[in-house]
Amino acid sequence: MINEGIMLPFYTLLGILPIMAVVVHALGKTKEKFLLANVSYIASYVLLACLSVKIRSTGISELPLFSLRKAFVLNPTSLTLATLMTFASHMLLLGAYMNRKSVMDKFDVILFMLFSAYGIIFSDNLIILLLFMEIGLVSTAFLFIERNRESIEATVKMTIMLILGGIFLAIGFSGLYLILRSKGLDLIALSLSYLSGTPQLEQGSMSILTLLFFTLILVGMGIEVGLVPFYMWLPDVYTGPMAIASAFFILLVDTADLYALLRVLPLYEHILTGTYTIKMLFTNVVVLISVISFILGELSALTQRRLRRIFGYSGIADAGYTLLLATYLAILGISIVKPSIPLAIATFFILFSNIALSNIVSLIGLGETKGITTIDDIRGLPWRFPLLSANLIISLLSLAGVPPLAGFMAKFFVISAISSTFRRLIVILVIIFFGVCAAYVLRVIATLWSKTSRVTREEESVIQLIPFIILNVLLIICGTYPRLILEFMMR
Amino acid sequence: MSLATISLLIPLLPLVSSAIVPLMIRVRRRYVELFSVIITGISLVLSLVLLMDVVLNRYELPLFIRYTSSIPSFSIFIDELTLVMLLIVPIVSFLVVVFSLGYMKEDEAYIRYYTFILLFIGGMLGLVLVGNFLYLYLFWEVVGITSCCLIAHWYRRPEASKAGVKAFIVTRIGDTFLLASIALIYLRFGTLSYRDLISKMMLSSTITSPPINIAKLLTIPLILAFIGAMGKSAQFPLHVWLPDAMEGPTTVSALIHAATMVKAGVYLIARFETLLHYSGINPVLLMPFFKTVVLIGGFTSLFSATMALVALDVKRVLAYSTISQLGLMFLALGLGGYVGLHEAFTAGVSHMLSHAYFKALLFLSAGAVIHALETRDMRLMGGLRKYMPITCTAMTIGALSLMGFPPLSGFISKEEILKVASEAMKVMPWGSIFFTLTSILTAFYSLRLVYLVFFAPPSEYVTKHKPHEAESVMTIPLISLMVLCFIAPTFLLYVLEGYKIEVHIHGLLKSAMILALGAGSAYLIYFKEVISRERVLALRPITVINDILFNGYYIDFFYERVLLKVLMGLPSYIASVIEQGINFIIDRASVIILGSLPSYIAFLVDSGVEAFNNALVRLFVNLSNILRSLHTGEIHHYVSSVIVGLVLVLLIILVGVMML
Repeated sequence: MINEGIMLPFYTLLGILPIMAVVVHALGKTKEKFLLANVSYIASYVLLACLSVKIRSTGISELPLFSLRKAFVLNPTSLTLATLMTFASHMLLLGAYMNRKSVMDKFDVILFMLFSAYGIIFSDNLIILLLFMEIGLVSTAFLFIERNRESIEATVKMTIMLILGGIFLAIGFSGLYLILRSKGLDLIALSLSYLSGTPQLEQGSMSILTLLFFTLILVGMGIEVGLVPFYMWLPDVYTGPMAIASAFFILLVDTADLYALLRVLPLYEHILTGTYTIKMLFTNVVVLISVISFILGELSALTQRRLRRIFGYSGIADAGYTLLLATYLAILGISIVKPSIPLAIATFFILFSNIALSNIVSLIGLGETKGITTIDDIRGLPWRFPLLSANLIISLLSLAGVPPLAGFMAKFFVISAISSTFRRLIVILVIIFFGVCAAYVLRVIATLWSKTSRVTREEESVIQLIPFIILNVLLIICGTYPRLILEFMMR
Repeated sequence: MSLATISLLIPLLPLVSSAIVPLMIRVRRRYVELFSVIITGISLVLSLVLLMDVVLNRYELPLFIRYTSSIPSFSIFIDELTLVMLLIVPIVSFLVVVFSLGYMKEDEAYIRYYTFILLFIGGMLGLVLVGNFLYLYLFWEVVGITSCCLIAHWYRRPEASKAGVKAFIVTRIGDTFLLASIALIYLRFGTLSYRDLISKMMLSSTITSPPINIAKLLTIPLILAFIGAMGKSAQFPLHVWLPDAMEGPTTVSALIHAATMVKAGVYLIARFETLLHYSGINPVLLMPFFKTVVLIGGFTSLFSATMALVALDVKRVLAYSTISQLGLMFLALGLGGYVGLHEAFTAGVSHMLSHAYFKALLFLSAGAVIHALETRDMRLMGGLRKYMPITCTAMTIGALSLMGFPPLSGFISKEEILKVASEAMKVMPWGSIFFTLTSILTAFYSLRLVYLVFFAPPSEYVTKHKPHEAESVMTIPLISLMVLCFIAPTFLLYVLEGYKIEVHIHGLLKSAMILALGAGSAYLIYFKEVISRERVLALRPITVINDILFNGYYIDFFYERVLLKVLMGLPSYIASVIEQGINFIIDRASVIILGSLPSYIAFLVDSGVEAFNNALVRLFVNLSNILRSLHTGEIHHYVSSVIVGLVLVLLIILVGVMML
């Protein structure tokens, strides 16, 4: 449905960010750049609010779809995700500026990353999705690159891997397009809103080809989000670039890609042809990859010594859980463009896991300026930097899934979702590895509180920590009132 | 601005500002202070505007303004009680914040101080304005927690830190009961909104068929709420936190422990009375509740007045006096079950208003003295009237009002209590007895306080210190409160329906008798020294009584040394008895029946569990190390892993398809 009232603010939202990014790039002074970046963020809030109001004012019966010329689709879930992601990244931006990080010269790149994240989240077309994923890749590469070996290495690795992933996705999408066009669906063959409602294709040789192309899409998405065995590059981007740059990557690019995984993968349930057994086969492969991903991710994190690397592996485990949630959506056979409780809880999980992760990485980055990089360096940190430590602990507890933080609700949702759909073994494995996650997080917290010698309090600025405090407050509020977010995602 | 906006802004401004003050850490101190004064000033102006709007436009009370449609909805409830509270909280808060400019000017932690003060004021204003018990509880907790933080403001002093913790724990006991009361109300009526509650109570008591026993529905929640109020308003036996809370800054004592927070308990009971009144419930049906309130309130008032007789710390005298006067307020409210809700409400609430002003005046005067002398011990004072004439006048007026000396506000409000106590004399004689005895003792210790601080011969400490009058920023609030001590009852003429300032000859005579007994004996003992105090205190029975009173009837001692030890020790004692019993049975059974088999099994289980634990940890660590070694950091390995992965996935799928 084309809705003119929505098109204007939406295209303004998409249009304003690259324009502002170019203007920010052209400006000379950092203060001016910062100011304009903030203006862009505020404009984004206003436009997102407009879109929310417009969508909600149409009433439930007219929902869920506002497909804009089969290029973009808006629903309350994606709008809520985009709004919270924008807010969290805005806080990171403020944090970066207050802490005088060198990324503050790259506000233009950050705006481009936000632009690509919106594109990925709202895309209703596989080609558009791929295009925005590539924009995300390029802007992340620009953000990461610094004049040091580690960041250059991480950037090169990420770029090569993600280009590879993009190639697989392009082949998979093109193959899918060719098959569907041959069925007379050429015009809308790549529209997600169409594909999620299309009747299944006939059984035959075409079904094997569809399976093959879907496998390529799975591999491509696997590379993009860091699933095992395509994950190797992900821990490097957590450690190589500046911490705040990694945090932006987690919050904008990784979250958007995980959301894309949630939307693209369940299509196999609608398109994959023929018999029940082919579908089951593909489901089993996907579940296998997701289980191996979270097992390997959580286990690898257990013995890491470098702080940021621990959470890099945690990111891999989160990708595994997200894939499991995507399979859960596929098994339920629900439309992935309409708002629904399963889609909302899966989105809740990826959003709040990544907010906690990005906050942790940013705070570790603050610690790195005081020479804290490994787990041994954090001994006695609460005595040296009580505020920084308190913030770090709250985010860590959220990641570990301790109530009443958002991480707890996210993990609770995952368990309750999969327990109704998957075999008991999978549920037990998920619970065990949530426990492993809590173990390494608690190891970090326990190390924080152990001090070998007398430490004295060092100076720390409250103001510089305010954006991170706000993000922690968000984790607490959303953990205490998850219904608030879920209702926004549903209505 | 509409009434709804004003009502919302009154608590919201200080609440939001309390979040802004910590951000002003780099701003000059003067601006932070100015900001706090301006915010409390605006809040005061808005409160007065609201008050005048309601009074002048003759709105039909109660007014109920609903802001959100969600459940529980946020709403404001304005009635006579709210208006009286708006005459207390913003005025005293503003004057205390102004006084703080002088009193706290050398305090380093001023950001923390103003943050909590503003948060407290916002919380208190929210508490008196909201129209829903859930939000009332939230604000109740806000004021409770901030008051504990303010008591422990000078937390480096162990006494202050301990007092903060003590206040937190003791009030928590009461708070738990209040929460239980609110939960019961919700379970029984299905709502926490005042307006809905009124209509549901009205329905329950009138047209329900078969009629619901309203006493059964309400008595227990009301008694539980009263226990909550006892915690907040320091009533026996939950009074122990208030005297210790005097370790906090005197401004905090004036604001929180005299004029506002301790009144929250009285407010809560008065609020229940108004709800009962609006719903037309006959208070006689709830007699157990009213009887409890009268007896606890009356007993506390007398009991703490006796302790004030011997206290030597100026703030401690005022703290005991506060507990005592709060007891009188409860006594008056409790008499509602005997003389009618409106009469009792008027008496209790009018004393609450006058007490807020004269006790804030007394505390701030004491603060000025402490500021000048840097001690709270009255033995080190004396003769200060020469050095601090304004403070002396202020404290004397405050003390006279506390005694109930005409024409001060304390006299008028005590007349109201006397009136209801006399009316209920036949059915509840305890009310009158407690009131009379407490008033005599109050007159005695008030005059003793003024004598020891200002009129006694100056101590060596005073002559050495040469104190001087407080600066104008501190004296202006004192003068303002002095004026309020005279004119406070006139406010009630506009706010309380049917309120008249009446003095009956009977009441006047009784007051004169009370003053003559209390103040007269203090005058003879202290000013005229007709009896040698040293000789009296040397008498053995007097020494014993003095010790008991000075140590607060050893209640603290009982709580800390006996009750706490028993409570803490009991579970471990029970556990040790059970453990010993089990050990005995196991030892005997194993020796007699199975020899050493159980211990052998236990050993095996222990070793097994340990071995399993170790193996599990080793497994995870080894697996993790293997995975680490896979991660080489070489880009060609990464690409290879992608290709291997792709091939593996395709292979699995192809094999799967072929097997289908």
